[in-house]
Amino acid sequence: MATQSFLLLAAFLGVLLALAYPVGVYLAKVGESTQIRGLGWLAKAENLLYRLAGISPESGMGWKSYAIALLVFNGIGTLFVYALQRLQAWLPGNPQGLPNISPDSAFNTAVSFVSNTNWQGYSGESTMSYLSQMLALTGQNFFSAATGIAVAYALIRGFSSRSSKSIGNFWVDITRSTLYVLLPLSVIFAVFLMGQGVIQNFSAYKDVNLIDPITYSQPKNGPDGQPLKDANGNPVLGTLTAKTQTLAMGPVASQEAIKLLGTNGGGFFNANSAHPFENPTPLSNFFQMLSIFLIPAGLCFTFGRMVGDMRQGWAVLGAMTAIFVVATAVVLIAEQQAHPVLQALGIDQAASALQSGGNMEGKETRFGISASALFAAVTTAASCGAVNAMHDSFMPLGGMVPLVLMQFGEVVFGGVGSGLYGMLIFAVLAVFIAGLMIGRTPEYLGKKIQSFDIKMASIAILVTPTLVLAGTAITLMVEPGRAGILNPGAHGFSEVLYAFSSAANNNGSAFAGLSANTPFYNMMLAIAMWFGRFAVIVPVLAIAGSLATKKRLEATAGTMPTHGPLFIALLVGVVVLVGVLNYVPALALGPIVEHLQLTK
Amino acid sequence: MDIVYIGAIVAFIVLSCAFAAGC
Repeated sequence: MATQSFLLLAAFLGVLLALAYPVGVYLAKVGESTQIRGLGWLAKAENLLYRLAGISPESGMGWKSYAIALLVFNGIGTLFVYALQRLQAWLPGNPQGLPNISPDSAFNTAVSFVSNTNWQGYSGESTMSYLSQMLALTGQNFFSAATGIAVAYALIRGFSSRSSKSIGNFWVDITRSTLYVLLPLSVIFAVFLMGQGVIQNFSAYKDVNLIDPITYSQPKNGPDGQPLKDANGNPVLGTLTAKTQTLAMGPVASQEAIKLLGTNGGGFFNANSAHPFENPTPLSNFFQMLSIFLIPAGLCFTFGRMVGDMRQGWAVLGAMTAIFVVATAVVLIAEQQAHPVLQALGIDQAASALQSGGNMEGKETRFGISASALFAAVTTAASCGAVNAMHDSFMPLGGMVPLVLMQFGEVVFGGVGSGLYGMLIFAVLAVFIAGLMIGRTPEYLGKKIQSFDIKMASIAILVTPTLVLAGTAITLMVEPGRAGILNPGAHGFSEVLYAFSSAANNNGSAFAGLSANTPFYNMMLAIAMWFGRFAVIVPVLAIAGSLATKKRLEATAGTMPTHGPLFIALLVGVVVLVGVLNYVPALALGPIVEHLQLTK
Repeated sequence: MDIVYIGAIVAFIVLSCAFAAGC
């Protein structure tokens, strides 16, 4: 089984590399606003959009204008998503007649989808109309991903330009990212998913007859709605037989494609990519994992191409891959272990021709341990958050890895755009530390890294740990926070820590035992999501603006090379060290204690 | 309650823009 797991990982990385390189080169052409052969018809649509919006695509923006445009665009998007949810009962595209969404849930969901988090306090099939799913949520899946790509382009231009005040034009970047990259890839991928069995329709939900009727017991309620009890105080049970089941329908494939390609992660259904209508086959599962990493990996090559040195892109990709492989190996090994409590009961948990073995609670049999553990590592290394297995049911160490990958700041491939700009901020910090050690003014790609750049990099890196640790602490101190916890003890602490790590780092997955669709959690997590996104983007754009104004110096014999194994090791070390220094005390209270309790 | 949450969204936007302006 271990051999199968690592063969799957090797195949995944091999196919990813083969696909990411051409995508990265293509993304560079999109970012450099060059004509793309064969897509002249899209250029006409692009120019029409600029004319309608009154935008001059040739005019550049300083970093502050770029940031304000980005914030206003995303702010208006948030208000739009909120309004649509609050009005959905009176709008078309609602065959189930679903009611309007409560104000606190609509607020949380609006911030969630705009910030590329896609944290879902609600259950999609029982809450959202088709119109809300398509126009509000899928629309923001495109725009939030395009926003991330735009910021990555802006930062790359900061490195590549010479004595310029402009870092590009936000409106051009977001238009071209959507029109040339996200839309075409999503159409291709959605058609592939439909071929695998993902549904795409506007039907009302269907009641179907079960092949085998199911008989089950359920507590009876009295006229007052309270459970009936017998003379001994035990609940009175009634026997029921279910002969039919309601199957939720909807335009799933069109949302599924961008959910993954845009590292958004919000599922059409509550079960997300564990649902057979979202992710029906092992092949669809393999390509879902690939699509999560496709653009983040491709952007490493985009970076190399736009700064004129592909070795720089390979170095960033190498650092990301090194962390990812180690993290994935830990999840694979942890989940393949027999659960000690079940082992004590004599239950067979060995891998065989008939079963995956290991810890199968919360996992789909069609995926088994290998594809579930790899998906968990992929979705949390990238800031996607789609799940094909329930992370809350992972072994303590298996569940700790997704938690840590988020806490590294979502820079191990990371979100679309945000992974690259996050890792480049760590690269700036790495050359600064190296400069301190050898007593030279730090340089990265010929740009001097000065006081302002390091201050902004420090803010960008420290925003998310502050939100995570403060949010977790406040939540555990107040009753509405503690009320949402399902499991007592260490795992309950992990549920809250995971929620804030996921929200502030814009991942969106959960230890889903936590009951988080309450006014308290909806507000607290919205604050973490918004500022975890935009309080990082602003200092990143400030660095881009600062770097753009500087001359690009030629490398000399004393310049530290930033494309070799030494720099990759330094970059990995900085990412891991910052993550460890921030989070080890919290991890010790959660998954580490839980592991020790389980194995004592 | 809508006014509270719409106000919160507007406050998020204003705070973020102020952060950018004061960087």
